[in-house]
Amino acid sequence: MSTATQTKNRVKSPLTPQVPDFCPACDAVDHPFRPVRRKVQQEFRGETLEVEAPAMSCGHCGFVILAPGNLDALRLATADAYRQRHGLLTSEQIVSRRASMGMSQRDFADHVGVGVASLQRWENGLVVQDKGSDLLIRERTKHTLFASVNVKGRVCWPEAQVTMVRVFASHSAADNHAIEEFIRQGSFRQMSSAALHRRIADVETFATRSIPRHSELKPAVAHRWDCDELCSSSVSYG
Amino acid sequence: MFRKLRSAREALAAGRLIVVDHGRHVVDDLQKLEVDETTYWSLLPRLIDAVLATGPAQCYAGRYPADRVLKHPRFNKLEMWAFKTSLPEFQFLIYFKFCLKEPPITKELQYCHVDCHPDKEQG
Repeated sequence: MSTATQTKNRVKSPLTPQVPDFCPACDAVDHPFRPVRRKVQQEFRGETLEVEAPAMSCGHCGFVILAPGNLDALRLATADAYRQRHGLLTSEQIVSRRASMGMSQRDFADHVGVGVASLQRWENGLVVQDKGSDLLIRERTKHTLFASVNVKGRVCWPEAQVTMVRVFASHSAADNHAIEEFIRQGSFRQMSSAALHRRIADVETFATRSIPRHSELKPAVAHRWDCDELCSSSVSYG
Repeated sequence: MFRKLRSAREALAAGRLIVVDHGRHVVDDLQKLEVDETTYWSLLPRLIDAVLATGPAQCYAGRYPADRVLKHPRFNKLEMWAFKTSLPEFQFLIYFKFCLKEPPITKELQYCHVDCHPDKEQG
């Protein structure tokens, strides 16, 4: 292979911040930087946020720099700190809501009514969703989180339907949120049969306590709601 | 100014890039430009090339004399060089600012990243 071809074929590594062998602040020259986790301030959308993220700190003067590979962690930490301050869903929560509905990114984007590229950027933390989009996601997922409740007032968990549990619309957002958090703790698809039944019993207990009106559901509505049907219908559950 | 830009370009070509103060604005800049980390850093040499092609005097966005790093007293009050220019894939001017730091032994200048975001005056 000629030298020219070798040069052409050489893959250049992407440019990233480096850890210098000296400290630009105190001029120490003995490779002074060590990895640490630091609370650092970030200016984000006109606000100052304090986030904990990996960093490199000078052992002599404490000067902090951003090291290679740390920016992704910093970006996610900053975006989530902003989201928490403003009551927006975090990346993880958006992914979780989509997963709870068993939808691909494209299907979920269509369901919510946003572009798939936007959804991808929200999920990977590249961009923070605006308040309107956040409300849209909440609105389009609030009915479809958890399992249906049958006419006798017991949570219905046929094993084939176990991936989706639903909370009905007549309950307050706080109730829905509490149940959502409770059920999210378990990953039902990966559970053994015995563990699944124990979990079902726990959810039944929790739901019975938290959903006093579940016994008023009509059988036709309670059994296997379709997500779109729920979101677009004005069925009265009581 | 040509000399500073060429030094900055050489430093970036050699991978001598550091981010001062843990990049206080860097996440905000990423969001405003809507790019990922790899793309963000790869913009820097391209921006310098664009400034060199257009003419540093037309693109210079700093003051005379240049502002200095004052937030970090130990940073030797380095001069900060600010420019704004355009790249084909962006519909707006991009403002970027850097300083150059000379290490005590190797004397190979380091590119110290300060800012890179859409130009605020235009936006």
